[in-house]
Amino acid sequence: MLTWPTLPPPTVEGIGVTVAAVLTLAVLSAALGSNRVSRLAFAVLVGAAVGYATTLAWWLVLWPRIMRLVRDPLREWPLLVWFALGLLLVVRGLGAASAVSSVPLAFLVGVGVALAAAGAALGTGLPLALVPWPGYGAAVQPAWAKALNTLIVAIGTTGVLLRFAYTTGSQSRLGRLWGGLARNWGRIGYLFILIGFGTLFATAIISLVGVLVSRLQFLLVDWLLVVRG
Amino acid sequence: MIFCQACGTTNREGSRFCNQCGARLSETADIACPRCGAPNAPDAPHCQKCGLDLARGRNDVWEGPLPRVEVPEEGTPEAPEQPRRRPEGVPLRRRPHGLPPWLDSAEQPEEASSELEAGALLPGEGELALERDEGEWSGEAIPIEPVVGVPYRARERPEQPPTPEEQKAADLFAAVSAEDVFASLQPGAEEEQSERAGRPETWLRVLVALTLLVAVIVPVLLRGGPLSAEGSVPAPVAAAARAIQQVPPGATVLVAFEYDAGLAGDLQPVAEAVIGEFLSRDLHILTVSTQPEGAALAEMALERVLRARGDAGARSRVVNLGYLTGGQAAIRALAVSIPSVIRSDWEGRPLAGNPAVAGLGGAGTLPLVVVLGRDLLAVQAWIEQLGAPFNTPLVAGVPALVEPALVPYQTAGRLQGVVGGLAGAAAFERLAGRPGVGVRSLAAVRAGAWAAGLLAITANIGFALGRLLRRRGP
Repeated sequence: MLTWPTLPPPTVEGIGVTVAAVLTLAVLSAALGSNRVSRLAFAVLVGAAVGYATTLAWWLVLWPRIMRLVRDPLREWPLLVWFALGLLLVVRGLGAASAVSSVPLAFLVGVGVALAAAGAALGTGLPLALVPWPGYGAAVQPAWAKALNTLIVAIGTTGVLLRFAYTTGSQSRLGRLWGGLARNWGRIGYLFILIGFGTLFATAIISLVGVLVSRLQFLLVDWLLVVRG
Repeated sequence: MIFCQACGTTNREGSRFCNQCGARLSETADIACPRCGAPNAPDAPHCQKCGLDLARGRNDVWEGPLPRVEVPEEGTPEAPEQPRRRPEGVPLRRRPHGLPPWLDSAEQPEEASSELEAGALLPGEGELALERDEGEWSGEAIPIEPVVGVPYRARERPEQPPTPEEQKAADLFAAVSAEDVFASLQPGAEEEQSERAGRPETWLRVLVALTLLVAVIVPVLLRGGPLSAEGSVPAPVAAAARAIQQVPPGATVLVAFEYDAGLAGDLQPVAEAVIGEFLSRDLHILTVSTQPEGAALAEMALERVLRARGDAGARSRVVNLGYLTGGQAAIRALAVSIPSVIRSDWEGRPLAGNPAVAGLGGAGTLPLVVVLGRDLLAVQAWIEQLGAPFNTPLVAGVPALVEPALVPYQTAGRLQGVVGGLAGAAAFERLAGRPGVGVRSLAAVRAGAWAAGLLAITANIGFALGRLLRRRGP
């Protein structure tokens, strides 16, 4: 049901909704070109996001652990190790003392790389490489469709790679054969690139239109209360 | 070859200054041995390297007197260089072995090659032992310099005018190099650029913005319209719904909110649809996020669903675990053991004693985990650290932009289903029989997508026509 626009009541929530609506309109004004209002809104949003993350890290991560250590130091003493490593990171910017920050950095990078490498190999590399294997993976498509899909992926992948083969080999018979193959198969790869970018563009439009719709619904339904029911 | 007396570097015949140290060469006018090319003092009776009798002027090749390697003194005017011609009557001895033709061209300057071919010239100053045999240089009679790395520095190349393509590329490079790269970062630079480009650009922007706004606002106001007709349910969404239905009632599931406010418009409807389905199936729900804003967005989605259901008792079955630092390491730790990683919920209440987490081990043992990720990397992290190592069923909710990138994971069986954006949320709501934000927004999304597509096609046609007219114009 459509009604006349009405501002929300002057409660804390209502004022918050109004501020959010004004900021939304300021950001949307960037569609007509960058202006002072939109830049101000961007600055407010970035600053608020950074401040929010910092506050969250303090209240949800640091403060509870500090309190646990204070209340029961004999049981929670391992936290001291992590606090010490964190403090070593803080001295990163202190000139000569910055060398000691290599210890926690090495710990972070080492653990991170080990987890990421093993996870990528077992979670992404191996399963995706085994997809063309008959009988592997989920039965989301019939066997012939899977075979056709695998063939298209193979043609597209090699074609795109050959599209970027700028050397065509020597002038020998084999070199000329390779050059012709790279040139013509690369044209197929170029078509795949066009289709891929077109698909990405279309899905990006749908995503961004979805965000626009949600913002307009917020303005019309939650703020101005134009649509009810 | 000429040896530098200052540093000992070997230099090419004819060099006046050392390639290495720049010292003037052969200050004492050494005599080069006709056999091996080694420099010798002018009065040396024998070659210091091969022992050839220099005093008698005998050699295997040239029967005439030994020439001197003349170097003009500093300050004296240099005599113009004259090509030395082979003296008449001096025999050229045939050698069985010679240098290959390619080395011949590499050794000799192009301008002198024709005369050398004709036998009229000697190759250069100080080279006495020239022998030719049908166009091939003898390796025994002349000092052979290493071919690899022979510098071209001493060789003057004629200046070639650039081709039109080269000139065009050079002009473009000069124009780009002359640009002030920091000018575009200054306040007001975009306005100035727009002013220079002319008003039509602003008008086009207004036209595009208005078209999109009208296309989207009308369905929002009308709550639907002809574009809200039901379509077929995408297979990934149907698979996600099946995976949720397979979770036994009373079990605990985890929903990861891995997105920020920028994509809330596309993902919040997915979150609300999934959480609503979980609550209707009497499941316990845990929410967590490794993004700072994710915990607040989770709280917002939970509040909206609970308010829409009007079921205050359902709140006890939902626990927001909040924000988790550590990225992939945190996900892995959560998969191993939830209580050891998180001890209190989003509002600081201790988890011990909460029925939703009673008896829980790691997230890896849960019957289902839903990842609402802003991009491929966010979903990949959960697949690689939880889904693959613990064989935990995963369902992903992502923006429409990311959906195609997750198809391989679904084919490989690493994802049970995918709900993509507002359209996916609408399809899921229809499957669940609870129309919500997704269904209400579907018509607006379709209208906006159609408008954007038509604008893109129109712009491309206009661009092509403009280019055609410019080509035909003067």
